[in-house]
Amino acid sequence: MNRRAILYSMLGLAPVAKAWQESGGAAIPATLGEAVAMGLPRFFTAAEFAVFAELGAALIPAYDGRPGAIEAEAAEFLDFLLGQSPADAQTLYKQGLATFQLRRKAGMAAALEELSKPWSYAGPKTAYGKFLAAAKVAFYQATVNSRQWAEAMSARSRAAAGVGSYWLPVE
Amino acid sequence: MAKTEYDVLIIGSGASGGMAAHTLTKLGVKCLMLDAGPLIDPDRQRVLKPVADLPYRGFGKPGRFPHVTQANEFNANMWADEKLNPYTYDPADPYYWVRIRLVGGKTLAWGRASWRLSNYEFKCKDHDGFGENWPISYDDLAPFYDRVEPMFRVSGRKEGFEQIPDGVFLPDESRDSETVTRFLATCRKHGVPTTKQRRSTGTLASSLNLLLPDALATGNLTLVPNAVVREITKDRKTGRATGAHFIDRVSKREFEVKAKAVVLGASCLESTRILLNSGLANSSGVLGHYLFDQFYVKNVVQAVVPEAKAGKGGRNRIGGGGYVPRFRNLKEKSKDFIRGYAYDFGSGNSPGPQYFSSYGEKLWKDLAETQGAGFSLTTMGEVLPRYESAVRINRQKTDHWGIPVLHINQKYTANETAMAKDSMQTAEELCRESGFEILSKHWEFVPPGESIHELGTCRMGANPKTSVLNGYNQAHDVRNLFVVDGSAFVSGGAQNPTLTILALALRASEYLVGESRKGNL
Repeated sequence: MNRRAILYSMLGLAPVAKAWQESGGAAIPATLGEAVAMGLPRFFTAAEFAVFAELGAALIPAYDGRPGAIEAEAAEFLDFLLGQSPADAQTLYKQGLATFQLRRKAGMAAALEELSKPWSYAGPKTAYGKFLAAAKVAFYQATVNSRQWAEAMSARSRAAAGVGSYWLPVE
Repeated sequence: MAKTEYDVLIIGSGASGGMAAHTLTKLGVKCLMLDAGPLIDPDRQRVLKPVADLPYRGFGKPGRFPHVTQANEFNANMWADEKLNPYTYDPADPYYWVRIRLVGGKTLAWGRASWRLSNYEFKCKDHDGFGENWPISYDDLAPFYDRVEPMFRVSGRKEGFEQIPDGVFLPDESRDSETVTRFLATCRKHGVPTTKQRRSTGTLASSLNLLLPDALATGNLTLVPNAVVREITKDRKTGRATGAHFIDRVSKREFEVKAKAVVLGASCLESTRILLNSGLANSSGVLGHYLFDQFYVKNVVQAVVPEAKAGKGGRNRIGGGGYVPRFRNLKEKSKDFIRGYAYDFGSGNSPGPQYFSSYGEKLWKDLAETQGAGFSLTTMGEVLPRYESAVRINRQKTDHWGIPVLHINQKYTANETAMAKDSMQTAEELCRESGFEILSKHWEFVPPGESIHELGTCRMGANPKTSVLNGYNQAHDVRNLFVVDGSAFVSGGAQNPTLTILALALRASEYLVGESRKGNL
């Protein structure tokens, strides 16, 4: 007999999990809104958002069959995430994006110059450098964790879909 | 009025409470176990999902777990809610208190590393004069380690190292990759010891799976989940513990329960919080003091193995890892610090985009070039137990159930910093000499608490004036009260503490039964 079966026969199952798994809910395919609709910008203004998307495309472009930030709708997702983020993250991105917009006039390479410093634990010294470093990692993660990435890359590797073990809410 | 008087009330169901229940019920003792969290079935509580199906694409809801770096969007529902379970600290010295409130406790998610302590810890003061010795020695605990390791099916390799004594292992005969072999050879040349990981094995090496089912099967254990303990009650005349007040987690209804003895295993800081809120076991004044843990320097060095670059790393070339036990201050003395540190090392990882100073197509090329070619080490260092590192009750703030919370004060000091810097230098030298390219190095450790190895605050000792518990985890002040979790530690070395917690809980529980039968409680 399964050792844990003793435990659960005596105490009953966690009701939420049991109902979820036995309802057959998993068999009915469900789709996130994100798959059929575009996210509405809430954090950046329309003008800021266009600049933010341009930054994303420069940091994480499509490459060699890999979707980039544009294809993965990473800017739309990050706008949503930033709208719910703590104030210090919001300030970092708002001010960083304004600086990017100014420096962009001298060319993309000049605007992203501060990314060329070697890695350090404390991160870049300037607020703009911190913004660029944070945006690079955020655009990367939002891209490789996207549905578009999973669809494009699953032919290459089984790990590409990023399947993980999700803990259901505990009552 | 309480309905039944149990022989023993056990508070907490993790490693220590689970081991107490396992031991006591088999000896015929009628036990009641209270746990603050619900009972879940880990198999049914989890479902497989692609990260793209999570509403926050794996980033998690911003601000939900400011102190749990281990939390991600997949496992967020497993951790104790920080808003329902607050605590305070001086903003200049943040403390990361990482908790799971479920039956089984943190054994549902532990890293399973299973190392013995040695007399370098138990008799630490004899080696360098700092702190206190434990009231027990390695020989006192060795027979209990011998019994715990088979229960948790610890795999490992016997080495004869004095600082991590050998145990009863499932032999680990796995072969090392070329990368690991090269690193081991460099270590050997410099007299740095290495071994295989020692880990508990099995699909769920948890109290929930290995301890509680056997205890329940005896018919001697009553388990009550969702029971948040407010305080341990006492008899004012005799000073003995009489049971506990608890609150139903969901309804907040209050209850009282009676027992002839109390075993506290609610986790290091929760046990001390309960004792402080109960006004118990503190004639020494050291309850809450001598908090310590282990500092971690995560990825102290991140390197790349040249031969494995550009997808050339096959299974023989790279992969696997190992452990470097403490090697400082064993025979020779270091100039800058006392005690020592250990490394976990691993190979075959893929360094993330933050390590490269590139972006755009160049970043994609850098990532592809180094995919699966990484080699990294993490430092785990001994933290000195200090009187000033302490917890106290913050009377200004209560949790969701109206119970006063802890104020936590712990700082790392010069000894930890010197050790961390030494570990960075040594790791870098070992990697360079092995022919690895260094991508990054740093010595900065994570904030106190983040390693989830919090220890002390209810320490053992031979002297009741400077310690809370005796050598059997029994309160000096309250004969029928035992505290069996990590709070009892006097010092902790660099070894992950769970195996020692299990061995101590087993030993204390058997002692409790013996004393009870002699009428000494």
